[in-house]
Amino acid sequence: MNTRVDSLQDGHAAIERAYADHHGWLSGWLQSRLGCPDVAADLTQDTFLRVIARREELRRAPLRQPRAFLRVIAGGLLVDHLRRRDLERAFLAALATQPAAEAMSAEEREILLETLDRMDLLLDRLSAPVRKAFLMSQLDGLRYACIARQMGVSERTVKRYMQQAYRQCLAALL
Amino acid sequence: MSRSAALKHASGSESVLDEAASWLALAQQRSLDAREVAELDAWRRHSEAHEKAWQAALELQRMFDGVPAEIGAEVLGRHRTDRRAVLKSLVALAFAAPAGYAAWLHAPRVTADYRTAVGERDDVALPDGSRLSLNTASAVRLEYSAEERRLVLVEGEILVSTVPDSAGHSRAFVVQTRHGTVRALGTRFTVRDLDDGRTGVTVFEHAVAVRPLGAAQAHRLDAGRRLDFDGQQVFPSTVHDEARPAWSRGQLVSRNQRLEDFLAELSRYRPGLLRCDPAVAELRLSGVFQLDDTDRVLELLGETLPVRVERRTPFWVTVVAR
Repeated sequence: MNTRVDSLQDGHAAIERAYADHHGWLSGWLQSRLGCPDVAADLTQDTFLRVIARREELRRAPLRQPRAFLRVIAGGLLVDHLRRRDLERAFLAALATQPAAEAMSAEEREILLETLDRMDLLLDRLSAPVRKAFLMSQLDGLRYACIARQMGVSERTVKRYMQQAYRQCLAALL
Repeated sequence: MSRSAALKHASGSESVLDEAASWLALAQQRSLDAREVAELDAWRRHSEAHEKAWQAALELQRMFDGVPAEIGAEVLGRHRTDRRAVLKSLVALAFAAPAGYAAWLHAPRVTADYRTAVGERDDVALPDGSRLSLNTASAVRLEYSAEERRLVLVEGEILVSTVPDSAGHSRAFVVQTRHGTVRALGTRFTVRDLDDGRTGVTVFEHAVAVRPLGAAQAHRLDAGRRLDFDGQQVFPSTVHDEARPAWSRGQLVSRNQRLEDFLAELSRYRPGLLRCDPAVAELRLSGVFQLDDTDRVLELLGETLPVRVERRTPFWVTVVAR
């Protein structure tokens, strides 16, 4: 009983120590990659939240290289942040040039952005050619023969790409 | 052949997914006839897993239907570098991390700021006035901040000619690769992501400081020398006598080089496969070749060496004994 309490306290103390020791370093590291102190501060916070969520696991196996560990977690968040930022930029650019966007309400735009974000994550699992073929088929409504010509591959390959794309998207949705 | 013949009604969840994908693909290509609709209905009733897979299929279809084609194409089809490139650039993160956490690196694509295709070269002026040349199949991301001017070499090879910082304060100029950093000390140098898990650095003017990710200290490399390093250490440097890299002049220079090594180098500039028959791998050659016409270079080989170029397709070329 006592040992459990002790070790829990140990866990908290370890995280507090990690926070004190590495918080400044981590937010600096993130800022050098983002160039924006606010977002860096947010991601630093999120990183430590994830560490706290795993405190049981960390208590059992203390970190030998806490900075490497923090960098891996922060890196995942960073990549996700960059993807979302990239997506939003492309979305805004598309809105500015597409007449279809003018008639949309702010709410419709928000829903569309969320849908695109979900789709982007789904498509992210696909390799570049599969993704390309899939988008040509789904968005442009091109026939396989036409996609095959444009991509310089056989129609059978396109068929294989499509099957793969559907399969991976379904697996992700389930 | 009817679709039903192609679909096997197996019960494993893997094959359910495959079958759902086949139905989706079919329905997307043309409208189903009455018999196929009945068949699909029967397929869905087969098990709960079947029905769930089909609901996911409908959800996927709804997502695409809800997106205007032009906007979807622009946003989802935006040019991004491939996953491998991001993984490479983020290897710094994985380095020294416990292996189990590699799973954290489900990295989506991140934009490369400058990129060349196979066979392409490009020269650009960086925001601070420094010059950047990209060799074939290369990608670079720019990460300028208040503290430093950082280039991330995602893949390939670059030539950098730095100038003193123009922003009023002297920020360091750093090239980061997946193995470490190369810090410019007012200088001209190339950095190349080598395929064998190392980074190669060649200095043409002044010096650079090379620091592998896992090394505590930087290693100074002066003009006229080159070296390789990996994530842990710097390998011994060697001398070179070039004033600038041959590729930046559009040339490939070989001096008494093994044919196999020469072809490996040449293949960087050609799409497709370029193979060397082991029987001729040890032949030696010297010369200056123009990179803009690699087909011509291959032709020249046949004129100077006892070899023949075998073309199965334009993208599959093997150099064999004559």
